[in-house]
Amino acid sequence: MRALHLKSRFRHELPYHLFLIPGIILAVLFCYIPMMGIVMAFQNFSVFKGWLAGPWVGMDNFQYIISMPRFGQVMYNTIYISILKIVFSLIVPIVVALLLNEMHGQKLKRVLQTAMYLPYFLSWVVLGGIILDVLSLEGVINSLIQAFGGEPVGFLSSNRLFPGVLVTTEVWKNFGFNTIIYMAALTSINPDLYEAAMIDGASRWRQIWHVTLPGIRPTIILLATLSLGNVLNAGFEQVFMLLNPLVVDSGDILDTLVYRLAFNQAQYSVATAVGLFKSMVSGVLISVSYYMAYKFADYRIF
Amino acid sequence: MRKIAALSISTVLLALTACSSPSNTNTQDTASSSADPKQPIDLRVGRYSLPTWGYPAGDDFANNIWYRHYADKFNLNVIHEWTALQNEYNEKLNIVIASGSIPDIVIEASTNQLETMVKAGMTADLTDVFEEHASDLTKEILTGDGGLAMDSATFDGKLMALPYTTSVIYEPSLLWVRQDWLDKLNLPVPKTIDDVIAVAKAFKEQDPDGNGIDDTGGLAFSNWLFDGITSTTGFFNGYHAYPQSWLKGDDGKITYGSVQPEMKNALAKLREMYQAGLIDPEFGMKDTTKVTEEVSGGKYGISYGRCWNVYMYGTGLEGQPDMVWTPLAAPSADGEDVFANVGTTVVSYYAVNKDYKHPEILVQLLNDYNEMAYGPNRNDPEVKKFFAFEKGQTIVEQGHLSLARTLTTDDATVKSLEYLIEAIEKRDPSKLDQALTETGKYEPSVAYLDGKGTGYMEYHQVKAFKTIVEGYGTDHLIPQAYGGTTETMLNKMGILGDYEREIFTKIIMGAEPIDAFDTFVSEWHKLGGQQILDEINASL
Amino acid sequence: MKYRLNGSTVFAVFNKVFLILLGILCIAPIVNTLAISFSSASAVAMGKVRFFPSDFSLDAYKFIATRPEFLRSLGVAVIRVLVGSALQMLVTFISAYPLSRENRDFSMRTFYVWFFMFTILFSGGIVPLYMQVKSLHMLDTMMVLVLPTALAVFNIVLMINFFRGLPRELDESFRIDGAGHWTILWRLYFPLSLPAFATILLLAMVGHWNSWFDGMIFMNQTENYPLATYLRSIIVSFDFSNVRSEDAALLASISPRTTKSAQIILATLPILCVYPFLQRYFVSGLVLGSVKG
Repeated sequence: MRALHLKSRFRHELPYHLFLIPGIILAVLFCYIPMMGIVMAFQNFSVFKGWLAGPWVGMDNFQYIISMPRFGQVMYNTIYISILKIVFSLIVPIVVALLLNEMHGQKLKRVLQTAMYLPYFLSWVVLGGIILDVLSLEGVINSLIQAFGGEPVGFLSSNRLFPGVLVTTEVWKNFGFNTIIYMAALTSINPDLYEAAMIDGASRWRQIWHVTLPGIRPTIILLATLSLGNVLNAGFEQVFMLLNPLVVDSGDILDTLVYRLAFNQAQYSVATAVGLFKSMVSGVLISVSYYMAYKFADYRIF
Repeated sequence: MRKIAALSISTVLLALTACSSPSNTNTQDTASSSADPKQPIDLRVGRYSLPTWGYPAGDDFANNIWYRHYADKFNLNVIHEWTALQNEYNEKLNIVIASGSIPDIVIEASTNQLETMVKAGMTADLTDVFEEHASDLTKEILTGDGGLAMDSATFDGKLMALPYTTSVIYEPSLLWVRQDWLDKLNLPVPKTIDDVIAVAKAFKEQDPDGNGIDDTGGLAFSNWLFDGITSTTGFFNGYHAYPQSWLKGDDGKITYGSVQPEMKNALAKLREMYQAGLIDPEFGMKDTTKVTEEVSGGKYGISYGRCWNVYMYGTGLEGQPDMVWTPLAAPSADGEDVFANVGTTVVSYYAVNKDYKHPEILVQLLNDYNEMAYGPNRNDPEVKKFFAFEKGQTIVEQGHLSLARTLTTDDATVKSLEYLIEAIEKRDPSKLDQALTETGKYEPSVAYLDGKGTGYMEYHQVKAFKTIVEGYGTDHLIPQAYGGTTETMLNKMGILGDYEREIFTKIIMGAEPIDAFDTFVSEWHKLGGQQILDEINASL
Repeated sequence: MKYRLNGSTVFAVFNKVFLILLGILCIAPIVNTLAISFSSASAVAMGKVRFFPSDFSLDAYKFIATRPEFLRSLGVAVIRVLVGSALQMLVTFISAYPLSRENRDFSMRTFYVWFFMFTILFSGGIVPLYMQVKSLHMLDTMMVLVLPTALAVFNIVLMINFFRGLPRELDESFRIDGAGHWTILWRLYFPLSLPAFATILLLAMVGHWNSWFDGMIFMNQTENYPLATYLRSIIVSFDFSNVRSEDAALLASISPRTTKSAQIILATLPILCVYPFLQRYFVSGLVLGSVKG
């Protein structure tokens, strides 16, 4: 009886397994096999001489990173900057998507959406220079401030303002692109629900609160969870372009620190160790939120 | 600039590393010479190119005059195993080395890369091949610096690579001043540091470009501080301070230039200038590319940098046809002679894969290059074709296409520069044939002086050559006293260098008191500097 | 004649103005880049160019027209985007389908999901990947640009969530009619998830268009660089500390900001056109509305 059950179950599920074969092959070839390189975090690797051939150094690579001057400050900066980025990168696109959704005029909407995702295509190498220009003492923003009788502000030289600059410019660069995902999610809301709400006499605000937001809730939870994986990635390219000696105290992050360790030499072992550390933290955060969402909201994120 | 070259390196690093398949196959040219002499010998290389390189019609990177010559003369079949653009070459070579599969000949490896390869036993011992095959000329050039370069390629008594030697005479950080602005404001050429400050002040305040707008600045330098262009190195030299160099002390011990007390005086002066508004209040945020652009755009008229700087500044000529630069030996703060700290005589290294059957080919290629570039037939038009060809009006270089090269030694370079300068001054190229290098600057310079042609940049560089020959010669240069890499240096030098620039910037900008320099010196030693010095001194 | 100002019209006006301002803020840098690309090099060096070209010039574009590299890498990029996105969409689609089932329907679902999630969390880094690609003999081929990227776990997870939003009853009714999984996937899921499909297609195309690092590492010959890799090598500046005197003449020909800007513009335009084209599939309510009718 049980065997029969298993057999029918297998036959029932077989197509699902078959669907996954291409993905599994790709994962094994390009992710799992190369993933064995993680052993390097515990080795002193310079040149590949065969599996596990590198001299084993245990936790030395990790210790080396932790012993860096200002390691604590750097960790703090990394987490502080990335959490701010995660929060605002989540909220802003939702708000913009909702506002766009409320706006009339399909043509204008399309034009605006296209405009908003433009900065996404400019690399930090390009934007870095433009941001320096705009925020400099003689830049556009400071000209405006002075025109209104204010004192020029050193946005990029003040430890107080620098993290804010990082967060703002990051959100500005990417919000348009993330908005697209929410716009797509909005399309999947059943229009009947709005009709029903209107018949109940619900205002626009109430409709947003009771229909729209619940409708895109899965997408919000999903993107929030996935972005947790970035809690130790505060945005290397951006910080690297904008960081200067005056704001090292507030702007130096884990990745720029590792970069400095490895300047000019390929310190693969140290980089692997840092990468492993970041992966573990992300893994824990994502797993915890996965189980929380399942346990308390009975919702499987993925 | 360096920032971005850096960006890519780091991407590799942040992406981590390791290994999968033991595919250490180094495709061997078993098709060898002994069996069939007609069978061409394969030579696999990884090379970099620049998008600006030009080729005669029909030629390209993989099919050029040098490779055809190699095929004729050495029966070589050059194969580009991989190519990269110049700013990615290092990174690609790092990965190729780490994956354990280097080409037959590794071209232009850095000190670190050579070290990694030698430690991993990937490169061939060239001691015997060099003895046997190197021509006298090659030996003369490679040992022209007194053996420093060859020593740096020697590990445990074995020669593991051939150094690509250069002449450090090109490297002093000169003071470049806009002569047209000086003339306009009736100012003399600056002779002391105080003059430099006075000129910077005048350039900032007296509207030297005469456009009626307050849009000019004082002394220009970038946040990298010690770069080849828009630098402060020459300024520090004026105070007998030699930032970022390994110096040999009177006791024979190696010390580090940036932590010497002379640095403090120079920093104090820069700080004064900053307070007086003679330095861009935001220089800490501007990289070399940015500041260079500002200089060429006419914002600044006084800046330190190397002899080639006008090639960058010259782009502003279109908008400012009167722009003329005067290169000066860095003025002194106290009237004592100024010395310039310069780099090592080695640009990079050529190494041979230990599995390659013909290590002697590298030596032969280098002999061949030296013979063509510096040998008695170098002025033969047929030979000259290998180094440059005419494309329409312009002369395009192609010497860089050869697989192995060296530059002339300091003495030879100085001689050549003297011939060049004399030839231009006398308008007589007859002695130019005796020069080994830089002869190509004659025609454009003369044309420029005669008011025709576009030799603006060449002529300015010749002026800088003159400044170097007269102001420094070979006896006022302080080369790096150590060119290798120690264990601690690998781990700590990057951090120390950043720390150094951070403190110096803060001191100049007034964010730290001037005495922060003393704290920096002790911290520098504590954070690994002392250990590095100990390791260096122990290795000597 | 209703000119009555009520709460919602005030909101509508403010909303519109706000969004337009936001839009302008986003276009500003590209307008600046555009203005630079049409200006003369000396005007740019003097910092005169903000939003309008100064000393109008087409030199930058004329210069690019003479460089074969740009067009060649544009070609590589186009092939890569087409082939790569198609592959990625196929893998995403057929992988998301089984993974969007309930656990009781597909007992190993959770295992597979974490099997894939693991690949985005942990990575062995670039050197092992390089060696793997090398041992598969994929260096310097189009395969290396399109195969590793064909598995996009983030997109699969997004697609899973879109699939889950589809009504189960339809699924059941198809099955009662005797339709197999393949039929359900293409006849039912595909048309129903068009907005999601369009979104993820956009992610895939943009991802391929912008990706530069793999091109640099895995392409052995610079001729095979995709546009993003080529572009990066151009805008990344020069390391002046290592300039040798013999290279000096080359310095003069380092591409000025005008040329860089022109290439940035030319490289951004094609991908910009993709979005408005895909936008037609984002019409709200299309999904269920069409099924209902």
